[in-house]
Amino acid sequence: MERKRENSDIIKRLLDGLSRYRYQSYEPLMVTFRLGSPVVLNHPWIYLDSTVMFLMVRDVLGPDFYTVNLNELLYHRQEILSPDSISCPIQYKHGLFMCSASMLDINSKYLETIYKRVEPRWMGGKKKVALNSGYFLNFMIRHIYVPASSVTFYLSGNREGLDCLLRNLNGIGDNTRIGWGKIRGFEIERTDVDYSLVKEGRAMRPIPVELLKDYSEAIPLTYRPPYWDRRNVRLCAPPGARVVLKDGI
Amino acid sequence: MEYKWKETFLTHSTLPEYRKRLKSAETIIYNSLKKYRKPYVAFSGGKDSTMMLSLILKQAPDIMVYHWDYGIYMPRYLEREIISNARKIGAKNLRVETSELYHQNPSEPIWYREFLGKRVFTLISEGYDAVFVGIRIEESLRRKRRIKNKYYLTDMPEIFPIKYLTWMDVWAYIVSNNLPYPSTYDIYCPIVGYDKARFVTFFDPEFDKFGASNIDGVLIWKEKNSSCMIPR
Repeated sequence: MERKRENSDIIKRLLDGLSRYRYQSYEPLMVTFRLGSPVVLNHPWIYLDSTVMFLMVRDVLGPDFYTVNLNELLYHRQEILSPDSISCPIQYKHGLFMCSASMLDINSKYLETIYKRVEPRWMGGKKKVALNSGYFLNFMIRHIYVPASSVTFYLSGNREGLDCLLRNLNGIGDNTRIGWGKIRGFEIERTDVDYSLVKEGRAMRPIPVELLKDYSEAIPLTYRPPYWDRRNVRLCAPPGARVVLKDGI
Repeated sequence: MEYKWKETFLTHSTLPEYRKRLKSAETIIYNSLKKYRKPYVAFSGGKDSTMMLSLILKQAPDIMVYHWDYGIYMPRYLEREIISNARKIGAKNLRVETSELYHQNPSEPIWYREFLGKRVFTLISEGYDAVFVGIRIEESLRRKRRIKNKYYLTDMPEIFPIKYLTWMDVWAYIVSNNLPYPSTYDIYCPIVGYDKARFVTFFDPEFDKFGASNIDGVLIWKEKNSSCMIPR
């Protein structure tokens, strides 16, 4: 009962807070992040649209962002973050965020192993702590990293809105909490052409095949945030595939 | 496979230590074939069972080779590769089984429930009295204990012919005998390492502990959502 009330408070705060964002104008932009440490991936690309939405939600909830199980909450109330109902500094058109997937300056991949273990000596108390099972389980995690020095995104967005939100971003990619993908700085530049969907005939992000006249490859991919939610899987042309957009897109 | 690794494994295959361990595997197979009336081979398609199958078929060409198809958790192109590889190695009596549950309720631990819970008993009732399993002591402490203490997963006695072999021995045998192996090794090994690359199902909650979904998500991302497109 208590949890239900807590959740409805969070939902109300989210709806109120997100409705305050209003972006009217969009322009073709290129965002380049300069990195201070290698970037860890658990998917071939990083999506800036989901990162920006993450920043918006964190901005609205403040410290509560870290105490609420947002994934579970948003799984059942998907409409809260529906791009149709909220205004985002990245343009949302034809059911898609006009933002390319990440482009890293280096593509070679390496493996790193980290050991996650609890430090019981700081925990106090006299009871034993089980380290081989349960909440404090120790485990080994392997992840793939790319020693990139910059990440670039093409998008159609609101420059001021993006600048304001991205200032609060410390890291990009996975495992940023332990220092991977540290952002040293970023630049937002205006481009003459909008490359958010297609550049030189190749898809720049997953594009559902319904929006395409022709495509060289189609793979089931999530095409909008949250990218972990399998309900957002559609047959899409992956980044790098040769595509021709339908007229009017 | 990279040239330097191929040369490494070929050189390893000339070592007397390798030959000694290979001989021990052949002896275990020979003795087991004499001891058991109707054994079969468990073939997953990975490097260890590829090597084991080749060794066994040299002594028992008509032995039944049992392969479990993990349905949506094994990409179809890989499943075709596994079956084709088994035939290329020389399996004449290949039996492939799967479960309808992979399409109905894929979140359940299907392999344990279906294979260990039901199909093994069918195999026992058909007269099979032992199974060749391609696991090695070197792989993990748990496997070492399982082999040493003869801890079997079912009532069927298990034989571990390649238990003393190392990862170098397995690759050396595969390369020196020009055996086919699944193409995912060529994707994983250069990054993960030839010693650590394992062949298990992909994005499967049942065996997630053996693999690493975050690595699979980068290296074979095309298969991540393939199960979402199957109508249920």
